[in-house]
Amino acid sequence: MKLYIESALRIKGRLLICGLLVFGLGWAALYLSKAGDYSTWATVWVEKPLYLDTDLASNPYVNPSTIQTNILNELLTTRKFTLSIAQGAGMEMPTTAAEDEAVISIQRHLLVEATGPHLVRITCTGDKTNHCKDIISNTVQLFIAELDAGQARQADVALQLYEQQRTTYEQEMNTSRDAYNQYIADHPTVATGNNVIDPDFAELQQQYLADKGRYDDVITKIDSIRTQSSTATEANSSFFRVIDPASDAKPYVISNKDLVRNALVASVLALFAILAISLVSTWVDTSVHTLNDLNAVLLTGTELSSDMLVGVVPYIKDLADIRQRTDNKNKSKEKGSATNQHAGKGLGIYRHKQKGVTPVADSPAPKPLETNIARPTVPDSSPLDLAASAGTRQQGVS
Amino acid sequence: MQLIKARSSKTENPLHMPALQAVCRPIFAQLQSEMSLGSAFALGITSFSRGDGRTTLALGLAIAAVGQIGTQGRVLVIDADISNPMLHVRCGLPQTPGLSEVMLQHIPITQAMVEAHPGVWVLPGGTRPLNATHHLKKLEELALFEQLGKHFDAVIVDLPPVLTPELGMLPAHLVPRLVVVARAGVTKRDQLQSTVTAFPDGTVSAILLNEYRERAPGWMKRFLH
Repeated sequence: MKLYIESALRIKGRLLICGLLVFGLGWAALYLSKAGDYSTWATVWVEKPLYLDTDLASNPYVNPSTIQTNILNELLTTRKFTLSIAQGAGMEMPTTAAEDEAVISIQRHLLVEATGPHLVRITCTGDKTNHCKDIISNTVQLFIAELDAGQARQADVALQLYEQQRTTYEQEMNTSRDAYNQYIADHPTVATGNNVIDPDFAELQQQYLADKGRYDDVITKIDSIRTQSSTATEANSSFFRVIDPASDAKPYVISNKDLVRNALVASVLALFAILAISLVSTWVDTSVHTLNDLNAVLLTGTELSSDMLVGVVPYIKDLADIRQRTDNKNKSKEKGSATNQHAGKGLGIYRHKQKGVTPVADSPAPKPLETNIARPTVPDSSPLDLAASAGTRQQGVS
Repeated sequence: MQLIKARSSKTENPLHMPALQAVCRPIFAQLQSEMSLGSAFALGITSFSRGDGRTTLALGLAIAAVGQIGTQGRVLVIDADISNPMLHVRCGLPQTPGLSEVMLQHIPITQAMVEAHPGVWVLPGGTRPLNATHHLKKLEELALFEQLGKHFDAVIVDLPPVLTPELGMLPAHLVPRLVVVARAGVTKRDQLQSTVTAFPDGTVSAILLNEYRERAPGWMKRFLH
């Protein structure tokens, strides 16, 4: 962690520039993605029918606006429905490719969202001023028509089934009724209030009642479906009604909310860029820069002395200038030396321990060196015959 | 001994930089305190490659030593990097006579040493020899630097860098104690590690991080250090 922080501090200037660059680019990209667009919108009020049982399968715990928004968004993903909107809006589509383009454009730029329990907002954005208004109005009309068509289709299917059942049940009921009447005609005493129960008569009577009950039930269902089918169209147009119709498309104007949002998104992007660069620079740069780097090196060396001194020599601009001049002989020697900005700053001598470097509390007080008490002169006779002179000196010292 | 005036301007000579002296003084004091009493202060300075600041720090430690010992102190700085001597350039001295001439017995050692600064004696590298390994081996056999330590308060040897394949581990045997210099932002971690582990155990007394730049703000230093 410390290495990453130190690495970031080392390149903080470049990180700052990079962060500002990413922030600016991100903010500009977010703005330019909206700039030049034209948009309009319409709000639709959706209600759940209280007295008409038009949608038995709907979830009573979900807002009607959410239900209708989901249905509309599903429909918008279909090519047929979207193409119908484009055709209704008068978009020119001479070729199949143009149709595909129009479909994709509508699917991309038409946004349907539930903004409340009953409110649906339909927004259309495009790079042209035309068609947006028509697309929205056509979307609402086609959606209502699609709902109607779907309900009618379901009602037709159900009616066909129930009509078939009705015919069957009617025949069975007529048969049992005829048998019942014939039995009464053949045995007039069974219907005169005789207390003796005729089992055949009772069976015929039960059969007739059962057949009649089934027939009445299917007749009730057919009546209900016809009622629902006829009321569904009314319900769709009445309970999915446009409150604010779409106006002419207007160019995008940045708002304070957009400003804040763009700034936040750009800031997050810049932060991620800075973090990524810091991590990468730490991983890539294997140079020794700080005491923690030195400590890491010493800790990985198992053969190293645990009592080794670690010192730092601060950057001195004068010396750096000399080094630069030495490295590059073409440079002028008249640069001179600048002030010692870092002289004495960050100076430290440390002792490396097994768990890290610890500053040596205080530099030891100057003490006289014990090596040259007598200060004998170096003999001038022999260039390398120093052992003899050293021996002479040691005798003198003792 | 002869006294030759340094020819370089004061602004370019590390010996005339108070900032360098201030920086090296506590380092020298700590190194000195690590030594046992009565032993000669002979210290070798090496690094992984050239340009890490060996010569500058050798001069800095020398001037710090003189400043700490006092006006009567004498410190000898020897340029043992005879294949590429730079000490004379830093001090503005002639390259010859130097250590190579002394080894070839052309001149006595006393004639090759120059007092570049009051109390700081410099032995340049001299002419670049054809066989530097032979010369250094001879130095090892003679234990010259340790012998000189008995005549000076301190002997600081500017050793060749480790990245000199033809020399091998020879420089490590020239002096009893070594200081390894690493240049911040230049020396790689694996280079430093290989440098330190290359020497015999206990030979390396200290590692100096040269050109260190403190970039952390004051309130963060406690956390980082």
